[in-house]
Amino acid sequence: MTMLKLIATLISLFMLEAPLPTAASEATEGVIIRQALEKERFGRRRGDVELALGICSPNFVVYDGAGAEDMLAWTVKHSNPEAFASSLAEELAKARYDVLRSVTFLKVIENEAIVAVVDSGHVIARDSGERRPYRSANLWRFRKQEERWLATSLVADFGDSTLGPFTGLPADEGAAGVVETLRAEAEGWSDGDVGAIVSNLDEHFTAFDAYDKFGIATWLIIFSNPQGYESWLTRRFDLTDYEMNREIVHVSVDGDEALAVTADDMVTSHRLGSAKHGEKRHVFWTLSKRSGDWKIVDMVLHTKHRN
Amino acid sequence: MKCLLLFDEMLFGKYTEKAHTRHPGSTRRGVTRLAQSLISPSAQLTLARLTTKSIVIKQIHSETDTFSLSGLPMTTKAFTHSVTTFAAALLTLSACSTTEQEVAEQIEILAASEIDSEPFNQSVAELVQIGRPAARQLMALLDPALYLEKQYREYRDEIEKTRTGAAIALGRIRHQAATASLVARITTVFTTRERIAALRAVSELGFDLAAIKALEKLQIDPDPLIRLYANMALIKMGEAGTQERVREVVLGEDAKLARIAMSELEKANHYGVPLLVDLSRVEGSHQEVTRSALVALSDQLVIQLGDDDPEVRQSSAKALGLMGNPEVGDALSALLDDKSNTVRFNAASALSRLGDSRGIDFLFNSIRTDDAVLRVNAIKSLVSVQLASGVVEARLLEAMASKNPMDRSGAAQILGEAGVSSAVVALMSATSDDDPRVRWTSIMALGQIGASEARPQLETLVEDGDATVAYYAEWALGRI
Repeated sequence: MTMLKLIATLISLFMLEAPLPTAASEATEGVIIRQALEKERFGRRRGDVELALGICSPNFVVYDGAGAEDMLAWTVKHSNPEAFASSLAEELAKARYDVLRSVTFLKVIENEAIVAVVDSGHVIARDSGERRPYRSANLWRFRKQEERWLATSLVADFGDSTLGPFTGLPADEGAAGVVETLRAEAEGWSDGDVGAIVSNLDEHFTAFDAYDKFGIATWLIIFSNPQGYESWLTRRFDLTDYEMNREIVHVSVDGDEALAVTADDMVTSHRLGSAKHGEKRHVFWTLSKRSGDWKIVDMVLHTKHRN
Repeated sequence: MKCLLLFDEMLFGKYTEKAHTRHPGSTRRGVTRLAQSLISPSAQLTLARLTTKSIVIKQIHSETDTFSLSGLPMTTKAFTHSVTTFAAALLTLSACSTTEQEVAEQIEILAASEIDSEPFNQSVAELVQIGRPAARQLMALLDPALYLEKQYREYRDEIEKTRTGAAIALGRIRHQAATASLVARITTVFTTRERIAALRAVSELGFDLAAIKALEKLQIDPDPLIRLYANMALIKMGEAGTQERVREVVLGEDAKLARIAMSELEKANHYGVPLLVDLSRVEGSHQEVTRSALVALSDQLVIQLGDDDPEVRQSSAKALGLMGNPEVGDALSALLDDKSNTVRFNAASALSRLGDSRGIDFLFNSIRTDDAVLRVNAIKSLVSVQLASGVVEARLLEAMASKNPMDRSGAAQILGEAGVSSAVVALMSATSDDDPRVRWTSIMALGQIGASEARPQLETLVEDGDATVAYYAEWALGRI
């Protein structure tokens, strides 16, 4: 009996010690997210803007993927749900979307999710009845808020990895705040200053790794909240020193929303050994000024570009 | 907070137990009071806090002799047991946490050091020293999907270091549960160093059907080095058929690859011996290296004769027998008293192969035993010795004339299974033995040898009064 209790106690303590997200929970959340996406599809099909927008969070942002998987081609399309709603209403007044939606990739970690879908079918003009083929790859971001999965962003029509090369948009005066934030973040790395980095993060900050590959299916959510990232940075800076040089190669700003791509040249030396690691990597960023200052919402490390 | 409560519970339990010892048979209320009186003032405060907060003792029933711990009714004995349980859990948890930190630190050293550098190898050695408690963290380093949150690493080079180190350590720890994870790392998605580390680790973990299938698939890998390591792993999993592929590499034109193959065979311990012995007999530039490898291995195998694991003792003895060095006779003879049957018989077989009478005597004495298992082992061993070296032939023929029928029937069986044609006369004579066991084993042996000269005699024996003898005579005639 004592031994049984001991085993039970140890098991429960270990479970408390290292909780891991399970495939089962991911599957359950995935079903709910798929249902939300279906709701949006029905809204488009019925021309019901309200139904389609029902899955969007109040801070919903739409990015234009420009038909390309290379993020240097992406721009901010609608920086708030209102702008998206009026555009969608206009679109749905003109045409009906008779499309099927297949989910090609879905990844959930804690309260954050990323979903790639391919919509294919026909767009039917309401006045003439003309049908034209339609195919669009879309990347949705979802966040679980008060037990509901709501879409926080959409990269509309992305996906062709053969398009390009793209050079990106240079930062103009309107992008000064974005540039400043990204530079401050880079300095934080060179200074080994965790605070300087995390002070630039949105409360819903999420980090991904794209592993230098086209194809969303290879993405991994590496940090689902700023706290996890901060604790990783703290340990990392205890053990390593960074030299970081950042070039901002692409910025798109619309209202309080922005996206950017940086080319980071970095070298890391370890305090516990002589090995040095370094790389030149591209990073994709989405930023928001909702809280007053520009804050980093999403960070995708190791993005691939055609150049 | 949780730990504090556990500590408080332990504290109270300890004093309750003391009170019980001093006043056996006292009522529950009395024991509780005594326990409280034994506790120091500060601890009494803790107890009071716990009691008022209803965390530990919710009710004390003197009549029913039960406590209620956090709502769960239990006797004092169970209460004390649970305290012991919590204490053990706490100690274990604390030890686990320390180990986890140690492992994490070693992993950082792996990440910060070049593969195969001194600090890297030292770190692997430390992880191996920690052993199985390190396995969970090491296995997490193998899977690319687990490089996230606190495990995240930005650089592929860095991941290669941690993954290679983890694979080497897991192999040396012999953590069999890691086999599937390691096998998944031998695909072309991973770097050559990662693949080789995984292959070497898999080879340390012993037979696994899924691993063998995955290793066989690597026979079409474009990298000859990967194919070599896959074959070495197969050899170490007991797939003897693979030896020919490694043999071809050693005798092949790629000198660098041949050197690696030789070095791996030397590192393969007893698994490499059959091929090394074979190669040492083939003329060529490799011969000298092979012989010195065998000398080095021989020393190692002699040390392994004293290993705690009977499988290691047995395999080492067997390999030493193959090597044919009579100088190891004394070391082998020490195993004739081993507590494991298989070790004893393998040592005796090895000694017999070396022509050492201690092994031969052991096996012949074992033929006489009434224990069927030992007798079968002895017969099996003598058959393999006779087939490999022929050194027991004269002794077997001698045994055919023994007064002990067990000797005669055993010898007949061995002579038959080893196909010793010079024994036909003795076997034919034994078909008229008084003991039916000797008669039918001799008849069987004649059938196995295919002795046509025994046909007339066998035809007579078909009518033998003993049904078994008659049956085997019929059977032998069918074989001749």
